[in-house]
Amino acid sequence: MTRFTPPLFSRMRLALFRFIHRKNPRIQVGEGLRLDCWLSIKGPGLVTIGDNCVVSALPGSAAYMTTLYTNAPEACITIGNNVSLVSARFSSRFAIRVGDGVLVEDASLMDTDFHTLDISRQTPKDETRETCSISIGRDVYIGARAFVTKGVVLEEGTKVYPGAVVQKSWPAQTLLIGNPAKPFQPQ
Amino acid sequence: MATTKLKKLWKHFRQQPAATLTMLRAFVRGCFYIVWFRLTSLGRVQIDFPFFCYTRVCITGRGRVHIGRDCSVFVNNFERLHIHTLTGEARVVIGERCSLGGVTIRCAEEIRLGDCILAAAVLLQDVPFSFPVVRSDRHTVLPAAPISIDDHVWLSGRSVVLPGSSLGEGSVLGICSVLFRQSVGAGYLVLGNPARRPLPIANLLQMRTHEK
Repeated sequence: MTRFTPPLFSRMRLALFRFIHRKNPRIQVGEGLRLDCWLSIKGPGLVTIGDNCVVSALPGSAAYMTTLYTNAPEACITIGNNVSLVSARFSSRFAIRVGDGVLVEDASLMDTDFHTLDISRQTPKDETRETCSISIGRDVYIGARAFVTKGVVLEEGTKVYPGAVVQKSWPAQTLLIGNPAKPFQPQ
Repeated sequence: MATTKLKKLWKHFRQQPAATLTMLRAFVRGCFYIVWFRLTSLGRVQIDFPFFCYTRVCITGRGRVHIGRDCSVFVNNFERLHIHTLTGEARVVIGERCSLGGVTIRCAEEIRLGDCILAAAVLLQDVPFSFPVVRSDRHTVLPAAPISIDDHVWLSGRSVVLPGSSLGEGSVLGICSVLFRQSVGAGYLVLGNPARRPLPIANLLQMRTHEK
């Protein structure tokens, strides 16, 4: 198999990206990353990106760049091989694991609520790593304007259609739509 | 004909000078877009005169786009008018006298909008996932289905229209609702994510009058 070589502009962007994060050992990027638009990584957590990933944006999305934000030192975002992030937004306090061949298109993934339900609005103390981590399996597609909340495990081949809000886990090969997301039958 | 129109414009200017100037600016901007797309798109994009353009317009892709006369693009805080054709066979047709504010269209097959459409911050997609169509080597492409929207339809804010859906004449799509694989007849109100059973608008109006 031939090695994927990104075109000139994306290579320049990648060189700039590597230069900016050259002293940060907590960002690990694999081979052949293609940056069609800017990838913004912020926070103290660990971010790992696999081989042959594409960070891109379709014209017409409100948020142009892909953001991978970690909100705690123990937070980690792990992204597998051949993943396409099309203006996706990740925000992690515990762990977000994304498998191989996943497509995230203008959607948000958040594994924390940031605030409690009571009026103090402090950082919630009952959230744990086991219950709140997000795990996305192989070949899962997440459509535009969709949202994946904390503690969701999506197994292999699930398709989250545009506008869906996923609040609980579903078995493999489901098609999800709606708020809250419910499975539907393909025609 | 021209003199009556000028007289009308002068009357409008006397009443609301700022609004008239903004309208003239939008008209000039629209003329610029008509010429610009005629020169750069090699006949793929056709915008009919006059075109009132209060904010930026972005049309990309290899497909054909036709925007009817007297359309206007209004200012929206978050999104402008974006039309993105994903394939060469894609065809976007927008009718006459539409007012579009922050509409995003991603088309792989066919999207038809009728005349006199009101739309704000709407996403119209005739494929569930648009990125695989552009880079078909990476992911499997899910089938596309055309979208057709009839005359006098109101698409309210932040609603999404997905493949295989159609709205009949005079229908209304409610706020933040998602229409998917559903064809709605003429004169219905559709609400919900995903859209639930459509409610006939005539009955709703009748109920309103009975309450009074």
